[in-house]
Amino acid sequence: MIEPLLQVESLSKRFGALRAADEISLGVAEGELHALIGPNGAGKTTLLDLLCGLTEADCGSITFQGRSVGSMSMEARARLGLVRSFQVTSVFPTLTVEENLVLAVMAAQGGNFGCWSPPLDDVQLLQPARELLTRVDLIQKSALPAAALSHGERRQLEVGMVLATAPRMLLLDEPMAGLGPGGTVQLTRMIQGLKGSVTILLVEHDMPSVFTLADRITVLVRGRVAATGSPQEIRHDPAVQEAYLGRGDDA
Amino acid sequence: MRAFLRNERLMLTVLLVFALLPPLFQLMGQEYLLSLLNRILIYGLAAASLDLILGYGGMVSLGHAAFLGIGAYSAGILAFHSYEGSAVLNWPMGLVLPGSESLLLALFVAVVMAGFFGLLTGSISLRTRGMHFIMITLAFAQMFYYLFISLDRYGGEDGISLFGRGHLPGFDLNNDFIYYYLCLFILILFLVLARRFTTSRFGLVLRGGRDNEQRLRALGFPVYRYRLICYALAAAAAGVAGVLMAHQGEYVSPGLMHWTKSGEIMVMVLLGGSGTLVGPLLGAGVLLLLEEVLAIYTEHWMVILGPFLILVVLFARNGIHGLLMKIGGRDD
Ligand SMILES: Nc1ncnc2c1ncn2[C@@H]1O[C@H](COP(=O)(O)OP(=O)(O)OP(=O)(O)O)[C@@H](O)[C@H]1O
Ligand SMILES: [Mg+2]
Repeated sequence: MIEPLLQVESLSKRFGALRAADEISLGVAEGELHALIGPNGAGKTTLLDLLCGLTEADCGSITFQGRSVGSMSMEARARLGLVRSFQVTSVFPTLTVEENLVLAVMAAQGGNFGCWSPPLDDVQLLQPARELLTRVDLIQKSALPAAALSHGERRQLEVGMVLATAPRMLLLDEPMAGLGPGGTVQLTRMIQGLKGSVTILLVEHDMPSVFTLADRITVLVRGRVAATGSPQEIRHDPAVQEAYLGRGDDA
Repeated sequence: MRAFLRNERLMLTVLLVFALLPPLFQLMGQEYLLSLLNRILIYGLAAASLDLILGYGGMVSLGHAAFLGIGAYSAGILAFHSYEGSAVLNWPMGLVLPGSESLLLALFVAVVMAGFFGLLTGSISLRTRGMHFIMITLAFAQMFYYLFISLDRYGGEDGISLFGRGHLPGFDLNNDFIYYYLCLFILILFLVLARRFTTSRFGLVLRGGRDNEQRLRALGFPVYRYRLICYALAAAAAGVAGVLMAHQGEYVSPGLMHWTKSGEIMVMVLLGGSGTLVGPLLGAGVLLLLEEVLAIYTEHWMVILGPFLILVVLFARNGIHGLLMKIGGRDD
């Protein structure tokens, strides 16, 4: 079997007495869209924090592209292509929409200590930025400060920024959160379009999109992996239904 | 883009006023005002350099006056040794730096020294955030303050008095007009460079870090390095202001590094509008003018100035610059 792009072994993180991540092991193959689901407080965001390097694990190992990245800084992991988006939308509020994307394109191209030429005059930055703005449907808003965008638009901007860095692997934390039904459908379609060209670990509460998008699903409950498998398997796993899907209704 | 253009226009207007006031003062026979205007200009340079750190970099430094002082003492110590006929440095292997009254040499030494100490103290301070950063920059500045107080050779608490304004080939710096326009030239040079700097790739990364550091790091930018470079460059620019200040007043003292001086420069930035470069010039102008005017009526001018500043910061979030932009925005 080929080695997975991302391999996590016995990753643990405690906050005081709380085991937010408890011996988590997980493999994500190249090109796969792997969904991570679980009830509120299960530790999904914590796991992404550990993977991207925002917080340091207590123990366990993270291997990305065959390299141990567990002790690398967030910046170093991002440069390797392991890039995340945040559950709480995270953009640069006083910069314009265009500047937000240009900054993300710059991150991908490198060589950014230039103190002389303005990036907004540079076609090599502007062109990809404009293309991405079109892709996430924000081209009309390029000149607005990001703070002026609606919640859904900020989310679109964030996805555009993440795409700009041409990542090997995306860690998406609830991209659908706070989007209306129309927005959810649109974003699902967009992520569908990314499938195959980039490996994705998707944390999402919106079950229809999860079951549409995912190749495989891991269920996290109280910091532990409760089950891993194909959408079919997960749908019919009794443990999962009890712990998660079957909250209240027996869907 | 439009805001940017308007900002540019405001800057040109302000510089034009700076350029035209001295002949006007002369016509009115109020030449003593020139020295006040010159001080405003030099403080404006210091405040604009702090704006790079504070307004563009989002780093609230309360120790900027240290670099002003280091620049001033660079000029002062060079001149002191020149009067004495001794060497500033006399190291083996021909490493000798004689005293000198050359303005260019003083500027060079000041840029190197302030830039170096900016790099040094910045590399430590920038490992902290928020309140800690404020306190540590303040602590470093106070360290320099006490260091220079203890240097008896250079006048200790009394500082160094200069005899004349030093030399620049082809210019008589003791002529107040010539000295003023030289300072204005240096200020314009700084603003042109700083304008380029803040709109460059580097500047965009810096502004991104001010907005959302975590996001910037997630994109893969080494935020610390960008901030450190910005911090050191701004320190070097403050060093230049220090040299100009030393020669303008023909006097150097440790008081220049006291934390209240750092606070004053910070107030100029906030009062004028941070992140605009031109705002701090206006802030310097208003603050120094107010000080001057209020000092005529009462020696407790700080009692009046303090609440005024609080009001401005509370009600005009973007300072004088923000107010002017609002007024200017209506007819666009
Ligand atoms: N920095 C922290 N300090 C202490 N406890 C924390 C910290 N971060 C998270 N936790 C706790 O760890 C647990 C897991 O939180 P996490 O945010 O990972 O859950 P989640 O699965 O992402 O939930 P949600 O679906 O609501 O986003 C929660 O109980 C949370 O309160
Ligand atoms: Mg979460």
